[in-house]
Amino acid sequence: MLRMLVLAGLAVGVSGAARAEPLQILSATLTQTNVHNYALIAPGAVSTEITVNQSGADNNTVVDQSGGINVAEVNQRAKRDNNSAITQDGAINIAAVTQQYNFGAILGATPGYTAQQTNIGFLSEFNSGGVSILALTGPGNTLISSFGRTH
Amino acid sequence: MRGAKALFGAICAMAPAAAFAADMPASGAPPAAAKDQSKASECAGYGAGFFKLGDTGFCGRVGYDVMGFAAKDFASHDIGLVGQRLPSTVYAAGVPILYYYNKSFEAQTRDPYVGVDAQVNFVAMRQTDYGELIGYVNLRAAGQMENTGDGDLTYVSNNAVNGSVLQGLVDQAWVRLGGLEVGVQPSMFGFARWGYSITPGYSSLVNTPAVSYTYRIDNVAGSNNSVSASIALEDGSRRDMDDGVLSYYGATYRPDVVAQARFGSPNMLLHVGGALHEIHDVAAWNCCYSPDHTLWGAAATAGGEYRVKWSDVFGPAAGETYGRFLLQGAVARGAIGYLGIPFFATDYVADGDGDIHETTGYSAVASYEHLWTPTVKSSITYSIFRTSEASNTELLAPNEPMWFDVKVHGSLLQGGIEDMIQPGLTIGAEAGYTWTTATGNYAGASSAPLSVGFPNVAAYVRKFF
Repeated sequence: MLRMLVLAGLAVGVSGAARAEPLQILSATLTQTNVHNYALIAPGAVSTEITVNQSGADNNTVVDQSGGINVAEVNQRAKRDNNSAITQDGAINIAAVTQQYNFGAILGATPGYTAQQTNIGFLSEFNSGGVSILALTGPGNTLISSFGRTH
Repeated sequence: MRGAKALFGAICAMAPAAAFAADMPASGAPPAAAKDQSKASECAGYGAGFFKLGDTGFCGRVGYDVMGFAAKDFASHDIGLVGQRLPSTVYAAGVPILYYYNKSFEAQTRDPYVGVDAQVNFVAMRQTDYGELIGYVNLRAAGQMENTGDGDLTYVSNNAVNGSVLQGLVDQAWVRLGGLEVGVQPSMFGFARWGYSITPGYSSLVNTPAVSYTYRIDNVAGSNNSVSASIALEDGSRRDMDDGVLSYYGATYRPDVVAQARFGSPNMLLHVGGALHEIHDVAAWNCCYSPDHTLWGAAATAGGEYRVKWSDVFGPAAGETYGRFLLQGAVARGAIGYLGIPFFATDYVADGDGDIHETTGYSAVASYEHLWTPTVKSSITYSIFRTSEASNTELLAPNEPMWFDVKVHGSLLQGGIEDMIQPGLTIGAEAGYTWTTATGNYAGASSAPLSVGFPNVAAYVRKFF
């Protein structure tokens, strides 16, 4: 009886392994239009397809993907400087960076701090004056604190 | 320290109990406590209410101070701060960043609130061959009702110590022999008051477990002046200002070293003090096994109080009116808890490689109290503070530097009036206005200043013995 159970378990396991799981790639498109734009993308060990669009005087993007499938597309339009650093560690890695210069239009951004939990991870954006800092971090590398005066 | 309420509930009463302790010699206040024990009654010399404790030779006194208050905080918004460690391909611990924003408190401040501050204390003292032996205990429960933001009303403690209501309950508990004092006692860093207002100005008055020694000389050179010098080893954890992300205190093995010197005359008190505060950071270690670092933060303070009888200045036209001025300031580096300000900065920032960047700041209080009649007095207090919290230049990725420098400054104006309607029973009202501004710089780019301002009012009734 015990032997039969073990065999049945193996059969189920083999069956489960043989069945193709639907491939899930989480995607997000992030846009920044302030004067100085910083985007930090580190979703962790999940397959992601991330698009970052930046338009400003200086654009900086850092992407660190370590999922099975990693797709990163960075489009930067700068008045002065564009910088991108992409690190990918997965079975399939695809990265495309487009950098254009001498763009005069800077749209600015609504000042404030927003934060939300997305299906990829924790997404926060800080906009104040000419500074925009956007971060998308997975559960393993999201470290946040909140403090100030109590009321 | 971090959990201290900022508004009316924050250590409301400069209670007679606390004042009694503060006037005692080892706390540094040169005006001497009553010592004349050689009168007809063994205990009368200590003051009203003292009684003989059997045949022990001790004289004791029980006191209490109960204050009830109602208050309204009109802050619909205030500056909120968010610390984060941004992911970095260079440092496992990430790159620290600090944001500021306009945070809504409409739900929390929509309604007025009530609270209570109740204290009961017992002191016992006697003369010995080694000096005066004193034991003192002050138990305290202070709290208020508070809107949670979800529409619920809850009670919160105003004197919890690092989240512990039980620790806060033991406000003071110490034994003193001569100049040596052991137990939970007022820190040697703090001046006698944070201003004459009931609500605290930006000044640090903290009770802490400590061992202290005070050397005191009365009647210096035949005058009525006195001087004292004190040194203390204090529990520094009550001063820690960390958020768990930008900074995170690990176990510290050395107490804070605090020194104080005072000069007193019948109408003046001068005070200088300094403190060393150990920082042992594990923020970068906890998250990513970056090295933990240790160094010493420091703080210094100076203050003075001057009492005046106005008829001595302006003649009989001034009548029987009295006044007193207080001016006190403090500076700190890596020891922001010594400034007595709201939690707008951590003591330091741990960089991605574990290096520590200390936060700097200062605070100051100017206050005046006027005694119109023997029972009616009013006060006005103005406080300021400033902090500068920054990181070193870090790398999000090779050739992708990032750093921040966030400065917060503010001021607080308070005015109040109090009437002692019968001995031991006072009623009073106080109003204040708070201004605060934050500015920032991120990798060389300036962010926009953010300013807030809001009033607050409170009324109270207080009974003490």
